Amino acid sequence: MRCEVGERLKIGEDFCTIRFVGYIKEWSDEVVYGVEWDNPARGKHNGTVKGKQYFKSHKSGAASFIKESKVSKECCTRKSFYEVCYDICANSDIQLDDMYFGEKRVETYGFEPLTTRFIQNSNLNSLSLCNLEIYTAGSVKGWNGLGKLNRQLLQLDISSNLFSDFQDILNIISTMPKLQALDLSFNKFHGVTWKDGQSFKSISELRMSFCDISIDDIKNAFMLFPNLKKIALSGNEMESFDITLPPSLLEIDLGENLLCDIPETLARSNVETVYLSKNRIKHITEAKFDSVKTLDLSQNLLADWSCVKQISAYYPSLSDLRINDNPFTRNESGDSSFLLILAQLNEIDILNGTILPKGTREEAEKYLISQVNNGTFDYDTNSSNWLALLDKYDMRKNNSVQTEFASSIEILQLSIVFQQQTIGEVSVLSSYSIRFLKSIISRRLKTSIFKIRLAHFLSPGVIQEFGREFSPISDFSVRSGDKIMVEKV
Amino acid sequence: MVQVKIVSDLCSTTRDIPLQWSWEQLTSKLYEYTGVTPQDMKLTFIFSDGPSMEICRASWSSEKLSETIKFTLESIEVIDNNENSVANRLAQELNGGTKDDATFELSEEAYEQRTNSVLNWKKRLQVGKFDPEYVSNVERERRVQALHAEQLAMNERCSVITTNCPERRGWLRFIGIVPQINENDIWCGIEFDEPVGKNDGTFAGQTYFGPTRPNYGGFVKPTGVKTSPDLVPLFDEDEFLSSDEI
Amino acid sequence: MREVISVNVGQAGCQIGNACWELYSLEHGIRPDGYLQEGLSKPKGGEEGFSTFFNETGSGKFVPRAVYVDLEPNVIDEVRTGPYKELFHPEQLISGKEDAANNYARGHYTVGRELLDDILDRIRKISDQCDGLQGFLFTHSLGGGTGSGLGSLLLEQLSIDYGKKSKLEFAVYPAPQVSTSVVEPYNTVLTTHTTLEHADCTFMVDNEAIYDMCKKNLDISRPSFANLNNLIAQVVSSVTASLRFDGSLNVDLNEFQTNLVPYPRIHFPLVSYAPILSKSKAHHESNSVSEITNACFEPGNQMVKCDPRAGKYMATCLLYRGDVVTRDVQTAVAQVKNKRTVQLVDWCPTGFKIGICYEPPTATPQSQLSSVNRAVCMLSNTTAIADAWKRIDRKFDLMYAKRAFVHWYVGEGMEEGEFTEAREDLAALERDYIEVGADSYADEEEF
Repeated sequence: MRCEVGERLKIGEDFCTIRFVGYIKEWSDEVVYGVEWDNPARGKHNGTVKGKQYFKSHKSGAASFIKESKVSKECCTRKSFYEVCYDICANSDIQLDDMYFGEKRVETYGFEPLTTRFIQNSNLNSLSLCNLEIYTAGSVKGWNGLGKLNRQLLQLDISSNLFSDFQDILNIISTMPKLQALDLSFNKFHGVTWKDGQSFKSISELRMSFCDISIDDIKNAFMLFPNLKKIALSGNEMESFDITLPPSLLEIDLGENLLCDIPETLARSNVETVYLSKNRIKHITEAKFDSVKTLDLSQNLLADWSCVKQISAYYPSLSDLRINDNPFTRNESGDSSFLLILAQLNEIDILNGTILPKGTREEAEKYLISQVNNGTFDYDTNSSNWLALLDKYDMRKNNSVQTEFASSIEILQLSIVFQQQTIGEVSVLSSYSIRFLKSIISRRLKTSIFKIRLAHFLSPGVIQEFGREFSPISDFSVRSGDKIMVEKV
Repeated sequence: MVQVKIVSDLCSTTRDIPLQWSWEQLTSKLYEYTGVTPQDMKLTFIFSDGPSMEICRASWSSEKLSETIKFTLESIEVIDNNENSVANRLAQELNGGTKDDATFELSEEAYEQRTNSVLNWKKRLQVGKFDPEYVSNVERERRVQALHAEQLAMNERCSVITTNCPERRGWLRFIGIVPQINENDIWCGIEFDEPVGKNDGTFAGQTYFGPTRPNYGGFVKPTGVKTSPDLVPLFDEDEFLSSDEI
Repeated sequence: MREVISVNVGQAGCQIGNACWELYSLEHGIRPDGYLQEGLSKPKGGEEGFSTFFNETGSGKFVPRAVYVDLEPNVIDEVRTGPYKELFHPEQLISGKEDAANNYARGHYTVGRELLDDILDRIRKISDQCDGLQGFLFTHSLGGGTGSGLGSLLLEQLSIDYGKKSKLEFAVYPAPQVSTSVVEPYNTVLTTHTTLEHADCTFMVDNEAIYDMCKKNLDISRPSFANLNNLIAQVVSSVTASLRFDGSLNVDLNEFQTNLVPYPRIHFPLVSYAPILSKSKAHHESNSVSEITNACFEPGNQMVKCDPRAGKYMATCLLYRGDVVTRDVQTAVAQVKNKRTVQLVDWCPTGFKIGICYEPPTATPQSQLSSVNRAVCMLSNTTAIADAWKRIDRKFDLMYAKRAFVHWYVGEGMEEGEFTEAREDLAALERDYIEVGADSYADEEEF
């Protein structure tokens, strides 16, 4: 059977899309398939061999040519959806009891009712058929039992298969009147088409991550599935997302795309949960996102601390935020940035995954105040937030005293050098004792505090021993960025 | 009440510390956690919003903590000023060198006398080495294996058949005892044609043959092995097909 | 009816208890106030399974069959005032005024004993509401004073009062690198000695292992205790799912012992769980039965740090949850067999079991775990877990050689002889594990 351009193949463990079918000069005696691999590293070129271009791969270096004889071999393991269903149902009474582990016979329990479910397939409401090389819907003919199965099904996972024609999906789900959740991720579709009047009202959850779909496809998906509550669209290389979202939608995953902004359309929706990690977001869109409770902005390009203040202003309902791995925190230690972010977000319960223990907020707010007072952190001290903070801790009056006291501390970022190698950095307060610095370093080196000696690197060949262990670091004119030499005793 | 991280050489824990405690109460609590006696204690208070503070015994008073502590307490470092204290010596031993003389040894006799031991249970049930047939079983099995091993030709082509595994082929590279597996059994070391083995001819740090490429080596029982020059490599599908791709 | 009473002792025990009951409530469709969620006419999971853990009162309210016990009031006060305060009857929450000061002896002999009658009385009342009590499920820490001292005292007493009823434990093992108090090794050795003959099966959880999972798998750079307990609860829930959900099977509490414990002393199965995926990663990774089964053999998915490749397996249970097909399980197990060096103790009466409960796991709203269609929890009795005992025994020895802090215990009326007795017992336990691993001759045919 000859495959067509656009069809999907799995060869070994790798997925690819056929981009070319025909003859090439190198192998003129046999039909050759030009494919583009999902994993570009698997490819050998761009579709050009010895100067002749047969097709052009979308991603650079992701293409190669395969002889039909090999492709045919791989194709024959491809199956239709109904073949797989039939296979599973027909073989669901497999006994696990004839298995041995060493000398031991494997015993099972709980499988009989499962088998019954499959055989009667009346109560089966969840079916996972991921990564089974399914490429088409196939024909339901010849097997009556399937209808019953389909009627009860609530969840269907057919991710990581070889579907390319969305019509196949529509054919499959049109026999499943109760279907609520559909996972199509990692199938690559040419397009999602919608005909007037066509809709699947029962489906509330759709996953189409890494499906190579465009904005227009997504618009059609929203027409096909008008009652969606959750949608996953990560990894679709979207640069913008300007679609009016249905009022039913509560959760959206737009991670691993190429977005530069937080889509403004979210502000006009009822969405509560938004995943935007691994995009290229540089700043916070100025709009009120009233309904958003959970927001994931980790691994983006937010470069300025003002984004935290903006989030606080534009997301009044926010309770769970991830904002780790953004460039704006690059100059702060993990703990310091965690506290500074937390202090600026009033209602939050979970930050960067940490379920906040009681007391952390107070710790964070007082830390912020001290950092602002001693000038190490830039914050608008005329803002109402700032005044509210001072009031909260009754610090407005003796503000000046606080400032004076707090200005004596300084955070020092020190690099630790052990056996001629820099093994890491520590940030400490200048008021910490040398002994405390030692204890931090000894823990990092997994050794005892008594087994190391510290010295201050001044210039090549000149190092200063720290004499008095219990004196603060500030006594030794150590500056941020200095090197601390560690020696084993 | 504040949650405070308490760190010493022997402990690291987060606890609730009520600020209405007296210094006396605090230090006796810290003694519980860290094992550092209050008279040897030197405390460093670390605040999230103020300069840290070191306090020694002399400066303690009977007043409440809240009288002295004006900032948000984040952690307390407890340092033992007495180099010879129990806590300091323990810290050195735990973090550094082992002192083997401290290790409790249960003598062979004492263990054998315990009635509820696994050893006794095995005796009662006559299982493992107490199985009356254990010795003869082991020996019979060993004889069978050894006899079979004698028939095999070293550095010859071979086929390997084990349960639940399709036939594999390769070269027989080693016949003998692998002490890291056990003391007496004879094993065959195989260099497979494909990466279908479990190692590279090395077992527990000792190389018995090769080393081959990773997972091209393995040790199997002699009875699963046949040697003959006719046992050519099985048709290698992948390699054959990879020439069909450019 | 096959009721199970949960007994949560000490700070760690109560906090894990909280996380577990929050999860159980969600899984069965119970609101924090003890009534059914809107739209449900009966709790999820089936009558029989559900009633093992919850008691239905006349007014249609569901009450956990559980007691919370702590010698100091703080943690239990949080339950009393927290979001689940109405779920429990005040009588189920028992706290004293004076803490155990991290001292086993105080929990076991002095302070703890004063509270004992009261606790047993409350447990009796709960057991009177049961038709066919199967046994008890303990959660406590081994290193804390209350968890170790009072926990073992209760286990002993329940053995006397309830005879052969099963007693399972989820025990927080002291983390290898950090310890919450200097005397943790003492408490751990003492409580293990006391409970060795009273507990039927003990599942250990090492906070450091959980901490690493939170960091690596869930991408939480600063995991809090709430994060750790959330994850522990997910594991506990997977283990108890087979007891709580009908239909799929009828597992009894004592089956854990029957399946996993060849000899009463060797009752510390290693627990592994997969998948542990964060919400944002979930959509990108396929979680086939093979993948999650394989992951259970990875050290990063183990609740206690040890190396099973260096040990031998006496028994293994794979407990699947959710959408799992028989054939996939077969393939997965075959793959494990081919890929892994799994050495078995061939003469042991215990074996290899696979169970399934087709209720998928639930994630609590705060949990950072993604909701998945299937998960697996592996319980394996392996000799490798003896490493955990070796570690703690060594610390004990270093301390005891100097008699460090022994006077704290003697001061509470304990005799020094109990230290040596306990240590000898643990040494014998280490030897027992060696003895279990010995004498296999034909178990593995390939290395």
